[in-house]
Amino acid sequence: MHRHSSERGAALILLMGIAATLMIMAATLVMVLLNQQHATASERKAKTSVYYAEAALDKAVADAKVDTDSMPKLSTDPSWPWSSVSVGRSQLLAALVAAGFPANGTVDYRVYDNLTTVNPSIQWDQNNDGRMWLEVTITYQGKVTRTRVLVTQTTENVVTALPRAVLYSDTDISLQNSSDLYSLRASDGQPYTAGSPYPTTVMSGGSLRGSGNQDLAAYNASPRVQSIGVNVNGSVSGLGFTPDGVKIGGVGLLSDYFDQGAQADLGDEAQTGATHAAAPTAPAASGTAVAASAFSQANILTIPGSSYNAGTKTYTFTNDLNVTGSLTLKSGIGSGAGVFPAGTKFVFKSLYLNGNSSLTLTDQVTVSTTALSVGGALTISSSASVTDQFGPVYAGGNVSVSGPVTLSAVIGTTPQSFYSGGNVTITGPASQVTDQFGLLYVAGALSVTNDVQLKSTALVAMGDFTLSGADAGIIDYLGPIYVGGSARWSGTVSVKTTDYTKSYAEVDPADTTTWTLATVGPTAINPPGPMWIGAVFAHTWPGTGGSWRYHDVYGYTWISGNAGTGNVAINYTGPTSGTTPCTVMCTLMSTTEKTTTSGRVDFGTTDFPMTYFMQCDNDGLYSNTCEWGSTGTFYGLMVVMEAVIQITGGNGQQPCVVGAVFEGTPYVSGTTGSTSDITLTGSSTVAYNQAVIDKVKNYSITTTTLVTTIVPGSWQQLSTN
Amino acid sequence: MPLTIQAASVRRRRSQTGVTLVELLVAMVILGIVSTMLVTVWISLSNSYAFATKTMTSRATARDALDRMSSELRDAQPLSIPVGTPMPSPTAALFTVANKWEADFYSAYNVPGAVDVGGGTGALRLTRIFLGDLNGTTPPSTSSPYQRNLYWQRRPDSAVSGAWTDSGVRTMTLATNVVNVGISDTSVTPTTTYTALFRYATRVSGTLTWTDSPSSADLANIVAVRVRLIVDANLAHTPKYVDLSTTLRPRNASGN
Repeated sequence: MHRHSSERGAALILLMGIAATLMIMAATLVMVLLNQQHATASERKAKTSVYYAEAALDKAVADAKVDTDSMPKLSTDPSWPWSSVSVGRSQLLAALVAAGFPANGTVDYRVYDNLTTVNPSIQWDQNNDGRMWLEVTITYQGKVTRTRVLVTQTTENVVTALPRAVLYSDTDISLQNSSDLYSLRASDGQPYTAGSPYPTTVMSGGSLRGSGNQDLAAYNASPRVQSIGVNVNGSVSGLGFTPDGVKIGGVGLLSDYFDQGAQADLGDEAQTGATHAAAPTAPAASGTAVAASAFSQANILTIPGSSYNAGTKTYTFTNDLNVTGSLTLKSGIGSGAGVFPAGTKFVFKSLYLNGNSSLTLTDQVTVSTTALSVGGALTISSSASVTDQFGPVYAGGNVSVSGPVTLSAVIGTTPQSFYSGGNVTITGPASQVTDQFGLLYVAGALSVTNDVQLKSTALVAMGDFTLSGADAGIIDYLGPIYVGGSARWSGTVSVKTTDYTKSYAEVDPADTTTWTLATVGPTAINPPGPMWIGAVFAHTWPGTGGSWRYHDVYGYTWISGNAGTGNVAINYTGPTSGTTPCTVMCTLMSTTEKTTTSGRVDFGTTDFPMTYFMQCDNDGLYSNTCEWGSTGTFYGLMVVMEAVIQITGGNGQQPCVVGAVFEGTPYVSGTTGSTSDITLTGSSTVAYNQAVIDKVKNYSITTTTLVTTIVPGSWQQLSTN
Repeated sequence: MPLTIQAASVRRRRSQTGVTLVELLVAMVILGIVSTMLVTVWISLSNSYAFATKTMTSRATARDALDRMSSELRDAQPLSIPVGTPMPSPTAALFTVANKWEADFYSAYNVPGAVDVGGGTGALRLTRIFLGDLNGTTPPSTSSPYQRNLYWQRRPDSAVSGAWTDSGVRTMTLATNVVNVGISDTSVTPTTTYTALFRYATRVSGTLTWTDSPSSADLANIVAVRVRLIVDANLAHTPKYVDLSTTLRPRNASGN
């Protein structure tokens, strides 16, 4: 028995020993694995915490970038960038929770100045360097991460503040038919074919919808490759291919970059011309008193200081005259009051017609004055060419000029003011005449018909300003224009808001190669004057104009547009055939109402692009649309707020817009509203060119906005000790 | 019936009372064989356990080292931050030294007290991560075990000058048995006889170029870093490589 037990025991002990050893080894391995697992989990939590901290910091910076007039400013306000600390915390936490951050996690932030000796309690820009630390602390499953970054607020041109987008819409973008978007090289304006990274992006707060014909490449690009990036909050559908690198999400509102304050500032910049020259004051009565009846062949030489040169048929008056009663001077046969032989000239010193007296000059009499004041109306008409040179003119009533009359308010070469207390109507002859003025101030409406060229140093018309009937290719040089009513131009007339006395006024606006920095732009030495129009504006290319094209030049232009339902605020038409466009050179054009363009009209050039800014006022008088149907090209920046923009006139080769188009604050009104606030139809295209956008910043607009940015290279992850 | 059973039991015990020599020898041989097998299995198990533990430890160490390097490199920051309106692009380089075995840079990563009252904004510390001899022998070689170590060092201040042997310089060994020097890298073109610890992506005019030896001018154009760490977990025996790599974009790199 003893031996049996001994044998069984040895095997059992051996087995137990082996089993125990194996168990110990297994347990050790399990412990090692558990340790590793724990370490991995801990590491994952720590990394996740870092990612959340980065997200929170990005969100904090994004919040800080949204600048509104009510937003505290970095420089002085301890509550920047939120109205209160609790608001900031709750905003950050809510954003994180929405992104999956556990609700039991914590987020905190601090803002403090970047002083040499840090003091977190100094929550404003004490050292006045425009920079402060924005710090976020995240606690995620026991892991604490602190990150911070220097943020700065700088005042920059609004163009700089905008995203680098070819099209930007708060809502959808619809590319219909064969319309497309692409980018051009800034260096030479040729199609961009280098692929990612793209020089620009189409950005939509909604979705981008195509029609199956879009490849996001220029029509003459070789190779045909995608030339712009895509970033939408919704979806991308219907393009003719699957675009590379589509980014979903992150498109903010345009007002994040271009806030209401900046919008108002840009509108103000466009309204530079709202401040116009004051009306000349009525001159005081002066001179030798004379009755109007004295102006007859029988009595005229009884007027003191008068003389007559029979050889030149000229009456000369050496005294200033103060005339009582309305005066008429006309050519004709006989010796009645005011009747003189054809070709008679009257050379006055100053001529003052007191009370409501009027002055009427008819047919072949010529008058010159050193100054003219008419209490009532001034009427000049002639069937033959006459030239009247008045010096400064003050007419209390209407002014009517008809026939081949050359009118000027000039002393020597110095232009003088011309004032009418009523309306001014100038009806020219078939052949061109040129009227010259200093300040042309019309208290009523100004209407110019036929081939009359106007030259002035400034023009103010409190009523409408109408140009029509010209067929001789008239170019008006008017200086700054202020129109209280509507401006409607038709016939073969071009308008420049340049002062005709300045040398650049002779630059041919059709020859864009002669344009220099001195001729346009806010930094120009003698820039074109501003234009302010209180109602609507239309420049219509005459259908019978043949090869003639208008070439307008304006400085800052504002068109209010409020003139009753049915009238668009801005309406340009151009030729519907031929390749030569009409041109509009303008630094900044802005309106609050509907805009339409049609025919072949170019706006700006590559070298001198412009800005079109529509800030719809939602007054219900018009549909809130910008219907850009021009078959020409707009060079520059289009910004449309609270309205839709439809670009329809493209031919597939020449882009409708070279630059960028921005649409913000979607307009949705009942059933008439649209969720596609930018729509391209037909073969319309928009081409992005960074060089053009840069020139918009340099030459077109000066409006600035407060921009909050991260100081490059300042991001830090800090110790949590 | 009980008497019959008892008689049979007595007969069986009598037949088992003797063990022959042959039986004993056979038993000893069997026991020897079994014991030998058990010992062999035991040794094998012990070796496997030791190897597995060593490998896991090496892998964990390598992973920790890689993680640390990633965090440090990601936080690289230029010493000077641009000033001006509008904001100019940063021109200062993130790295003061960048080659295949070493990366030197400024960082505030885990610098304590940087945001405390009086901590100052000078939180940046010159930091370096390098493979080689702590005494500064570079490049490392396979001949010295001291040059198979991966070190992290940080100066106590942001001073540009000064030696890494100064007092106050913090030193940490991130990994040992790093064998990048002796392992060919076939993942790059042209193939190298070594596997660079650091490779750098520089971007100039939109063109991304990878190199393990950026020029001085390119230090400011580094936008990404690939870190590859190869540790021999079974040094002095058949090599067992733990090969880990990651690519990171420094948060403060230009364009990020």
